[in-house]
Amino acid sequence: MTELLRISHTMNMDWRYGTSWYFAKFIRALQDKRLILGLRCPVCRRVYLPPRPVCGNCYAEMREWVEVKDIGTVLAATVVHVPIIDPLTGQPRPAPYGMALIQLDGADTTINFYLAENDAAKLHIGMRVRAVWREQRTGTLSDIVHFKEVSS
Amino acid sequence: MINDEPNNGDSFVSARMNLTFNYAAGETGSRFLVALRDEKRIYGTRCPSCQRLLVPARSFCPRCFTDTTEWIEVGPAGTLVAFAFDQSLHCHAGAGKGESDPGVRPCLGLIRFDGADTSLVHHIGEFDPDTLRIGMLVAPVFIQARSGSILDIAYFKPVEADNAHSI
Repeated sequence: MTELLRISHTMNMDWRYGTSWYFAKFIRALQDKRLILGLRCPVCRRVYLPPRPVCGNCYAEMREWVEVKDIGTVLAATVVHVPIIDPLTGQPRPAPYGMALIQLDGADTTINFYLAENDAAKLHIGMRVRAVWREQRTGTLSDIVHFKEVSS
Repeated sequence: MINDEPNNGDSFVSARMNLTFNYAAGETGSRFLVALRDEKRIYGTRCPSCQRLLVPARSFCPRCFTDTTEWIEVGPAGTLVAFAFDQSLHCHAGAGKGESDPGVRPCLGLIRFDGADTSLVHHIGEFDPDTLRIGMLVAPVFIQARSGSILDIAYFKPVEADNAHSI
């Protein structure tokens, strides 16, 4: 009877992709000024976060920057039990962890980000959360650690 | 104030994934790999229906769907039937003289052993990129610390016909 082999192999994949002016400005503001910036459509006046060059409804080019607050409302939330690779670290994210669609005050779209809370019983739609900023920011999405519930 | 600054510039986003695979080689795969590890031999299996010799060893013939029967040793040297240079920055470690050797161009090749009907994919190393040719005889270079992996062979290197034994 043959010995049965189990082969372990780790594939390390690194990406470095170029982004355009709107993301450059967004990430600079995140790192340098602890500001979250959205873009406003000149036609429908919606503020997009994260910023994108063209309005999805109107197909109008957006150039007007708007400061969005770092506090907002959870519109949907979940607790993830099966960890995937966190692209910000390359490693599986310790699970369980909370994730939510958050509409920050001043934005018309939601962002998908991590929550501090990982107990499903403590999450509810409509809860208010605020960004927890990293002390040393490096110009990446992980400059915000997660969003934590606040009473506002 | 934020709208006074010009909208220009670019940025780069870095992301990383380290994916660990655990691959179960199965009975046939394990037997093939154990032979690499313990005997430094390469085996194929014969399909009793179409008589093809399949390398690497297969448990069944994918054309006939018949279980293979005999295990037959091939090589060690084989004919290079195709090759391609790896243009990416993140290639497999271990091909050629050394990863940092500027003269080394990572290369993958298809190797057809005498008597075999399919080719083996593997690294080609220790070669002169200007003279590498289809039809060359290439022989496996085994590593010392073998574990039952296809990389127990570091690469295949071009050899002369009278030097066609594995190193």
